[in-house]
Amino acid sequence: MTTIRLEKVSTGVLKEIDLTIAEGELFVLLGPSGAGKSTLLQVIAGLLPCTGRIFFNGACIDRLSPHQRRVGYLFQDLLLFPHLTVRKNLQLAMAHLKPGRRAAQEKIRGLLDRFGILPLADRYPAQMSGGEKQRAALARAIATDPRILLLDEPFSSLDPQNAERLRPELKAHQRHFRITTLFVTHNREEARQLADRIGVLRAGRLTDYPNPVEIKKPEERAAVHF
Amino acid sequence: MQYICLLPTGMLVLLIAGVLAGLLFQLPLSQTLATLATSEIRFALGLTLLTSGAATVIAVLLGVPAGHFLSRQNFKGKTVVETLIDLPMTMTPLVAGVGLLFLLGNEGVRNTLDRLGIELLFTPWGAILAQVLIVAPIMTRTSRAAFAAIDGRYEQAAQTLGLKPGQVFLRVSLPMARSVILSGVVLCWARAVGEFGATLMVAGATRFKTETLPIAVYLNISSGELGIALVCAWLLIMTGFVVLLTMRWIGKPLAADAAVLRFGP
Repeated sequence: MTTIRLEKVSTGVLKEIDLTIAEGELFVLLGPSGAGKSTLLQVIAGLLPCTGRIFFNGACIDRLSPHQRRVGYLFQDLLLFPHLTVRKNLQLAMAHLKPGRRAAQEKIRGLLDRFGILPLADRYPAQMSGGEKQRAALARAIATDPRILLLDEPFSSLDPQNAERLRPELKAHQRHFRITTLFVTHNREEARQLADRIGVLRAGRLTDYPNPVEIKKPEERAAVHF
Repeated sequence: MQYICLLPTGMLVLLIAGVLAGLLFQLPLSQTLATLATSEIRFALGLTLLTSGAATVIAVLLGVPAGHFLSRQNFKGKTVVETLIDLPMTMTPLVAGVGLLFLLGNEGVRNTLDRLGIELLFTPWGAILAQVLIVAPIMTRTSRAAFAAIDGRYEQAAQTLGLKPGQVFLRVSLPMARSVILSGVVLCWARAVGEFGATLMVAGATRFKTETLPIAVYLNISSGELGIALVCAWLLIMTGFVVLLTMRWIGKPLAADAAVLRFGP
């Protein structure tokens, strides 16, 4: 399990972000479009440069390339590789771990089973529904044994019923694997359902709300209204 | 409207068929078969396959990474670099060959090559180099278009999955662009097989030494050996025919690939 700490992280969009996410915590970053939510995820993943410092379990990772950071990144439009089946998408995600062939097969089977998509293992992403692709992408992100899970509005492309069904599933998986998670959304209700702790990002500045229930208070509701 | 379009279509078909018939009916079949077995034809065919194959491999090794680089990176002077790489496609091959001849004839370059024991001018190696000059820009342009059509975020996703840049290229970018790149390879090879102007300038036209099929046509027309020239011409036409068929054959999996990416197999 990993503690994440950001110290005065700034880019063109982000303004001196200070943030600590505890081991196994699910931190939801709430904010309007253009506030810099996705930028922050890309900075943590090493896909965008920044000033300031980022620590995983106290070790600075600023100089690590994206492939060395071990983050599980679920992009908004999932980005499952269309030329590979679900099974091969997971195999590719595990390639750098160099597991034995049998161990890899067992791990993939276990993950697909847990996410309820084992019968779809040999399907291509284009042959799956939105919810199935969502599960496959999450399974792929977890297959890398990530130190942190970065989720960029993963339910935004789903219809409300599907999203409603998948939220508790996600929370259960996050608890099961005990992965430190940073979840980005612009949906307040989604944030309240999922979060251990909520932060609001507005115009590149972060406000931290230690207890999601606080957001129910009228003055807090006004603060996160956008 | 259809009847109006029929006339130009018919004229075009007649023109092409006339050219082919003009070449085909010059020689009786028995003489064509006998000429096919001559050592000169066998040599020209072998050298053509060798030089065009080598040139295509080199063009792929240069053009595919260059295409990926140009599709993903922005830098000062990129337009100039892209225009420069595209330029050989618009130059007369003869002129490109003259330029290459002057470059290789330059004292500094010549001395360096001599020291390394590399002989390019008027050798089959020169023919390969000339063909690379003509076909590598085609490969680069095709690859650049193929990679540009792929969302760069797939590569970012692969990086976050722990893949090193080389692995991202080989296991994600290249497979996703493979259909277009494969058609580029076939086009490059066809262009290399028929390359004449640049090859003539750099490798010269020496029988049984630098005699590719187009050079054999030129040499034998010049010396009045019409039979050999015609058979070589037919071999070149057959190559083009095979290439077109192959493109259509690749075209089906291409369409199938696109369908897999959109709808699954």
